[in-house]
Amino acid sequence: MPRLRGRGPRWLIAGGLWDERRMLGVILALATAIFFALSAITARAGLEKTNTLLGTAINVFVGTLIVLLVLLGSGEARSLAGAKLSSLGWFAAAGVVHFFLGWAFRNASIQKIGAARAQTLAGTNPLVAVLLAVVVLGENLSPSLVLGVLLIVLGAYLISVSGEA
Amino acid sequence: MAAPRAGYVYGVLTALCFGLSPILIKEGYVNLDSPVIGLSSGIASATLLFVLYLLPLRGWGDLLTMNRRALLFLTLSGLFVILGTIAKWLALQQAPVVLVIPLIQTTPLFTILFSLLFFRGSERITARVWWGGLLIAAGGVLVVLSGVMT
Repeated sequence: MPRLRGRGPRWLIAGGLWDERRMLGVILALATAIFFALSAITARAGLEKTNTLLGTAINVFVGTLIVLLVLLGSGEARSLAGAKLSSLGWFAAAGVVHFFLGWAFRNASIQKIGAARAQTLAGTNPLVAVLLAVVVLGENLSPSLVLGVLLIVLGAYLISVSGEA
Repeated sequence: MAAPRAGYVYGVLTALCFGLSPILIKEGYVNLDSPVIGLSSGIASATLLFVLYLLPLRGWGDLLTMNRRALLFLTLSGLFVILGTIAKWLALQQAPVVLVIPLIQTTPLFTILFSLLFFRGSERITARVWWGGLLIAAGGVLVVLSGVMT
């Protein structure tokens, strides 16, 4: 198709539909998915003969080291002094739930049923937000939300009957 | 590898924790809008708990004597998950949520693909696993884009 040669991608970018920032955002989002998947895969390899909590502790120690480097590099460490204790408390609670409990459960699950099944089940986490929105906030369920919930539940069911890993 | 029911229960508990933490983070942002400080405080508190766990249970000894291959893979696992977290922040700064979140929801599909590549023979990937991953990814996208998580 000679008439389109050299026009497609350039038109998409210059036309505003795909500016460079969005393109970078898309690449970073895909990188996120790949990094999370690689994390599950390497955890599976590392946990073959290791205690789950010790393995999770190593994950968290490495993560802490990198995050501290980012904190120092960003210059935001100074604003820690003026930070409200309530905010730090919420963040600490989130850290305990996500990095201590969440990662320990994820690694325990990977150890027992493998990376593919464990990481896929972890992907059902948007259901928690739906449950809270409906039960606590009394929000109405839109048709797309109901469809989303049904797909997640059906997917989780298929994983649970997918046979031995 | 056996597939005991506990593994599935742990998987559901993981989802529960990963679903609850953004709600707690949102409360923290009310008075302090800094993802870097949020992540630092969060992971530091988890580190503290792990140090407390390792101290009395001679876990340090296990750490020093553990298999080097396992140590390497677990170090890489921690590295990848933090790189993923940082990439997610940056992605959300560059592009709208409607573009970023659906792509991140493909994580299970990449995990299934990599399991197929790296654990061929030791992890059985059936059609139901693929369908389960696809449905959970698609359902997650619908739920997130419906606005219930914002």
